Amino acid sequence: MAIAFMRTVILYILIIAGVRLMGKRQVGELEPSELVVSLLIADLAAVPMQDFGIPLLTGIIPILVLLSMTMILSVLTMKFPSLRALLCGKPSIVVRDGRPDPREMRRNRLTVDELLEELRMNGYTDLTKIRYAILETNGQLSVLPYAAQQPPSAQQLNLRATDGGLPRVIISDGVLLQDNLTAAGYDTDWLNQQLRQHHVPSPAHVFLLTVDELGRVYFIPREVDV
Amino acid sequence: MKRLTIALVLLLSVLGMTVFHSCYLSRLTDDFSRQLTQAATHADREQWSQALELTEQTLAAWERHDFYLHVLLRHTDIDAIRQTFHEVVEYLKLEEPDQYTAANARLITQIELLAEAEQLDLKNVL
Repeated sequence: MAIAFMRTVILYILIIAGVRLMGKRQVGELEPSELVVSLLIADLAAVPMQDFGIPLLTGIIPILVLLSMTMILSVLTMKFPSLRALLCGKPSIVVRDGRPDPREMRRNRLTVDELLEELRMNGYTDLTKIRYAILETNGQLSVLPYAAQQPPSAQQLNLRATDGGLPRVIISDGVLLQDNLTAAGYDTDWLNQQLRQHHVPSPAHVFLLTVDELGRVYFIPREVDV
Repeated sequence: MKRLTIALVLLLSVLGMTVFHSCYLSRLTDDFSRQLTQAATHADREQWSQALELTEQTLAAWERHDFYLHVLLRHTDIDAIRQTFHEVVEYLKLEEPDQYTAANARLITQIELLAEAEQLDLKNVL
């Protein structure tokens, strides 16, 4: 069992180092340490589940060790930014002032095709419109266009925009969410009035009904037979 | 800080328990091996009843630890040792010196290997 402990510690460190060496492109949306834990826990849980000749503890001990180490690392990376940079890497600027940086791209094993694909996915087809494209530590590409290429805001256009706040779901697929109705500050009388206005007899006939902080109602009737 | 403390306590507890298990198992298997060696000495002197009594006592002690052993060790290893134990007892009842000596030596080795495989040393870790 102590061997399982030591082996888990060694493998954890080894796989974290491996994932870091793979670079951000392979990481996807998870941080390297999270990816390692996901990969290992799934496998560790599966072995004692299938093989009854192995004690359950041989699966439980490594999982506990992994979770503890992940917790320790997450706290330490919050306290020490240099450790975070070591474990998770730093964001890389792969496009600067409309020009791709070949050195940074090589360092992150990012090909031109992959960069262009990521930019298209972000809605950009023209590199000259991009001020910065940053490859984040979780493998996602953040694109910052030039100010002139950014859509204007209501403030810039001197327009008055009303902020409706967070809409609350009152009826979801025919089910009345009483807690949300109360939290939004309305009662059953108000709801019945809304239903009458939309010509439906009951919440069962509503697919979606939301109300925002300004009292604006969004209504979609249910099309299936109830 | 609380999360760090919890994680460290958990990690150190697991390490402590696993090291304790290694030490306890080592002591336990040493006792079994010593008793079985002692039984072999009786058998060499043709004191079959004393050898049988000592081996059965060892088997009873082994069975008392059955739960602990099954929870922490591979079941195939535990079952193999139990099987050899019964084999040794039968050879003692039959007073077969050659067969008994071979089976008892195998049993002692199996028990020693059980503890050795759990020892926290570089050989096992790697």
